Amino acid sequence: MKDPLLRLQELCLWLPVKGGLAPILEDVNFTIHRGEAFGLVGESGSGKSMTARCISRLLPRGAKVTGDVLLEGVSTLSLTPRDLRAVRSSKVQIIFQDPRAHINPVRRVGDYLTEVLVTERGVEQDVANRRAIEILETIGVTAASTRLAQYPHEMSGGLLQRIMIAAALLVEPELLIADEPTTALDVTTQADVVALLDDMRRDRGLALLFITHDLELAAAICDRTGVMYAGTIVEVQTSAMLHQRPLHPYTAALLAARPSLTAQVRPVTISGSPVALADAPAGCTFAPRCAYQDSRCRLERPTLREGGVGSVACVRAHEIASQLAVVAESARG
Amino acid sequence: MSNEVLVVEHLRKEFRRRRGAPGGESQHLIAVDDVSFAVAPGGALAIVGESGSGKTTTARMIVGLEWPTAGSISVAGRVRSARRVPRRERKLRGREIQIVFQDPYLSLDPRQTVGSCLDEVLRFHFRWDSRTQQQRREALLAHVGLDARFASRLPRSMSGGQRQRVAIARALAAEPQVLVLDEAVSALDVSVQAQVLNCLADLRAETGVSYVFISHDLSVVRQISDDIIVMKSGKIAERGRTDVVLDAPQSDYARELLASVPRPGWHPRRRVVAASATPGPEPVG
Repeated sequence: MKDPLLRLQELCLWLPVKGGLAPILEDVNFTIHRGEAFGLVGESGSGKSMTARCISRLLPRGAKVTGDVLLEGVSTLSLTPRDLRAVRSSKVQIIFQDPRAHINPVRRVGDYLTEVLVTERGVEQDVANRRAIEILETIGVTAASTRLAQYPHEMSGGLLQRIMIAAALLVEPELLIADEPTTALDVTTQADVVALLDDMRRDRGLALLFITHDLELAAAICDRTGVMYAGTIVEVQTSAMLHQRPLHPYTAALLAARPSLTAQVRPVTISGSPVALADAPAGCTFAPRCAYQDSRCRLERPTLREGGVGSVACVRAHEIASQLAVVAESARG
Repeated sequence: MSNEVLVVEHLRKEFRRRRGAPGGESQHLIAVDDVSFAVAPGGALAIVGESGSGKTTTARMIVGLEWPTAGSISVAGRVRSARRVPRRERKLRGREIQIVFQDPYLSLDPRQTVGSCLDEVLRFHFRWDSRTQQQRREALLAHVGLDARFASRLPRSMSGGQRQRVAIARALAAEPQVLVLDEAVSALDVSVQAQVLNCLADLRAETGVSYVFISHDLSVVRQISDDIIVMKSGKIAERGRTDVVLDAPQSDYARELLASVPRPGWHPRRRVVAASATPGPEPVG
């Protein structure tokens, strides 16, 4: 088997809080191969974005990380600042949810697009401009040359998100991390952006880590999907099967809670509310909200185990598999 | 039609917008253009559309936060006529219609306990002795699925879904006949959104309140509304029963919206013309 492009190994993260460190991620494991789209779904606070930030080490001061992040076999956690800068400007690019918060508002869009090429790679400014225009045209931005001279406030959110995608693609990365790239966009613009990412993946063999709270969206874009809850990955399997035959009770509950587009059916709620890893109980993090929990679930935190079809972190996974399939089936309507 | 609780006729809103340099020529942006609809008592109307379609401006005009350029609005059989109205009239209007906004982090006072937040509304509208008021307060909390202990909590100690339920309880405290919900469940996580949706469905069944539900999420709208209006660029592109429109949309725009909803096996294709076909500065927001 080929070496994966990205491998996360028992990644744990603590962030500084008043009076110590709070656990944020625990034992996060997954791999992404070249040209593969991997989805990471979960509710707010589940650790999706922090997982992404660990990959290119965009972490706040005082953060503690154990485990490893291997990019082409090299640990990004132990890179020197200089090598890290090289990785960030060439191999890994991140697109964030809110382009307005991540693009310098007082610089022209053209400067933002060409900065890495000019400062890191020594490309001539007018060559860089030409490449920026080319890529803007590929992703369906009209009047590209005029756009370079504009400022972010002159553009709509959807257009600015395309600018951010263009900037990420300009450096021809191996891995594109998209952190809720379409959440702030209208559905028709979202469809455009998704189609664009899909094309780029096919044309350039780009690997994609797609972070979203929307299971349907992940299913549409990603080959495999991992589900996160309270800083842990509870399930990983192919996106298609995740919808048909979820392995973890939380995945099944999420599917049943999503309102249906095709029928008026009362969504099935999950009792309680999502917790942070720091507040999670000793056993399974989901146990207090789980309809299938028994005494074993409270004893020990289950680890992600490789099964025949996917991986799941649930001690009762085998016993409840058929029940979860029924839940998923009724959720599809 | 006289028994409708909310009637909106030929509503229009223009905003003046300056183009180019300050002091340059101004032009009118038509945010809402000839919008008419009615809501029956206990009914639920959804207004859907993308950003800039005029759905939020419509909601703001209904509750009186914006004044229409043309057209009429009547709530509970009374026409909203004068722009400036005396306190007594404002109070009456508060009993007729209330609004819940998208972000409960912004719409609740961070330093006010839940109990005090509800008491303020109850004291303003009703003259009850303290015992009745407390009972009413607890009943309101129970309506939205929160127990009486929440009365002493501050917003920061609650989750997003709990806060949004407090915002709904506060809006219901004045016992309005119409509740306008502007993207009220959009910011909530899936599992919490389901709780609030069910809470809203139960409230309508129990109290007979009418909803005007503003949303961009067609799945949510399917669960909560009887009728639907699809807006595009300030105009109504399509209207009808929610199930009929979502199962068999007639307009191109409604079809496009539906086709853009992600689902397993969904493979969107890039539209030939990008969202930003016109060069030059374009409107923001």
